[in-house]
Amino acid sequence: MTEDTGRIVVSNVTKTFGSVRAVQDLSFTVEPGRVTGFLGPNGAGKTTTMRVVLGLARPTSGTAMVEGVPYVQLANPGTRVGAVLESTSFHPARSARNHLRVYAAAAGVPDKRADEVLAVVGLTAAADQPVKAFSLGMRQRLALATALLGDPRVLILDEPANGLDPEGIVWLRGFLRHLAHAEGRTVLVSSHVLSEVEQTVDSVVIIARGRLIHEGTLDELRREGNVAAVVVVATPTPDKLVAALRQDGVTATPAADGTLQVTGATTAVIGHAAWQAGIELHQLRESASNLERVFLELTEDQPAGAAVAERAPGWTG
Amino acid sequence: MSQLLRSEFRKVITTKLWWGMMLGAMALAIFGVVIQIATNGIKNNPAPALNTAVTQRNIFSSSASAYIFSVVVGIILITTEFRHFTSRPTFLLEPRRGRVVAAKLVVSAGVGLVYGLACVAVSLAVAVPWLSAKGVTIDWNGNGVIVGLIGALLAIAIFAVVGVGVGVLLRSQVAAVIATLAYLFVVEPLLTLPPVIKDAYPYLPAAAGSALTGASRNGTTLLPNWQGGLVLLGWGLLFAFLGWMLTVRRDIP
Repeated sequence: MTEDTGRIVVSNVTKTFGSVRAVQDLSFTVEPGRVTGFLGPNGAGKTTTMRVVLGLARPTSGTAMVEGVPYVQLANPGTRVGAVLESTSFHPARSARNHLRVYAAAAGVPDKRADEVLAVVGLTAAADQPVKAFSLGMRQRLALATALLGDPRVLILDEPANGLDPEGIVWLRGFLRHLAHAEGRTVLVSSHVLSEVEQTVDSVVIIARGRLIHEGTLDELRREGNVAAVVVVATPTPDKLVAALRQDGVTATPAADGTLQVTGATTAVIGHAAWQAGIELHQLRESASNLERVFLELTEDQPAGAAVAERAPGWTG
Repeated sequence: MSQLLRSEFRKVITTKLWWGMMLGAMALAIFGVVIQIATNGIKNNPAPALNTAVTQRNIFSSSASAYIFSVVVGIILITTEFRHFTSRPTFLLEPRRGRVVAAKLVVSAGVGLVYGLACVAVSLAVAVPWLSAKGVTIDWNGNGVIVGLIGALLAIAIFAVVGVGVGVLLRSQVAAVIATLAYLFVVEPLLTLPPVIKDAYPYLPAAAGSALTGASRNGTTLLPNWQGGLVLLGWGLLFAFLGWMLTVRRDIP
């Protein structure tokens, strides 16, 4: 084992398609033993970067190393790296079990591995159905099962939560954290919505328009984000609370759902002011979307630079 | 490489394509035999009598026409990877893409051989009892009957390799199938006409395939049968090499 075991190192990678610069001078490191979120708006270059790391696309310049070597030089890569890519890759007429056996053979792992990974992702009952009968969520599970076939140390997953139902998302969260924390694997998971992976990831790599915006832990992101936190307050007497807070120089604005949105004060300050004024509180919490707002601010306020219109950030699908 | 061959073999046997197309190939092989025997001796049919050497050779090599099915199967086996993006897991598990193409060529040759055997077998199963019922003696020892059978088998097998080659080069399933059929049935027959190309004509794919069974084509002289087989195989490998050079080494969609 070398010190590069399980590590992904992207160094100064640039990838251009014609005149479009999808990725520009991008460098970051992904460490084993934690879940790393790879975040950015759609079109930021996440998929392109992952394809470069996986050797499916060649970087225009720069290098991407997995366990110390470029992916294409890995011996028997199926047993070192597992990947789920955004568009699922199945022959529609092939059954799930046969799909896995095709790739078990290519990865050089025994056939019983196919049934093991089907059980891991909860698809045993559907093993003999053709993939064309599968829902999007089932396809995502099968894609994950394919990635797990070779029991790889490194997992690279592009938007794996797409199409999963809420129960599936909760399952995926726990599963990815287990793979990283309990089993020490490297897990790189991309998303265009931070809140979707906020509860899953330990650290983040954020890119926008092909450039690195932030690399570090979620706490560092909160600190560096410099976005005023929003506190949500629910009270039967909002007018009294607004007035009480105004005396302390704090602004509270009513939200559509009847709660108050307070900026510029912590929950402790607001709670104390309410208690002193004798105001009954039903809810007092930091808005869950604070980190998402940091993310939005970071990724949207980038100078246009060489970015191109057709790859501009979008927030759909 | 054995891992890849196993994987590619499983891809073939885990969908219905291979046997569906094989049934088609066998039906076409039977059709060729039936037409020749049933119409022999009918007014306006210029074919020599059933007991002549040339007719017997034509009957027993007629299953070669089933190469249409094997070339299309070869095309589909490779282009389906790009169509359904199964090229991704395939190339993730074996980033040395040339080896994947090589495994595909080997497995398709095996599929082609199975097709060839099946077609030759059904043509024998129909022709032998029918001819003996008509009181025609089959001359197994001469006249190219055996050569015709082996030639048909090999033509069907090698065309599967050619199909993979064309598929690697063109990637698009529809484009590859249309281009191949249009070339084999429209373009190449027309190439017998211009005098300049006439000398090179025996080296073109369909002519080389026809040479395998010793059949004549549009009245032109063809290569000796074994040379025809090698030339046809060469075309398949050339297409695969060009495909590897021009497309497979690039980014995988």
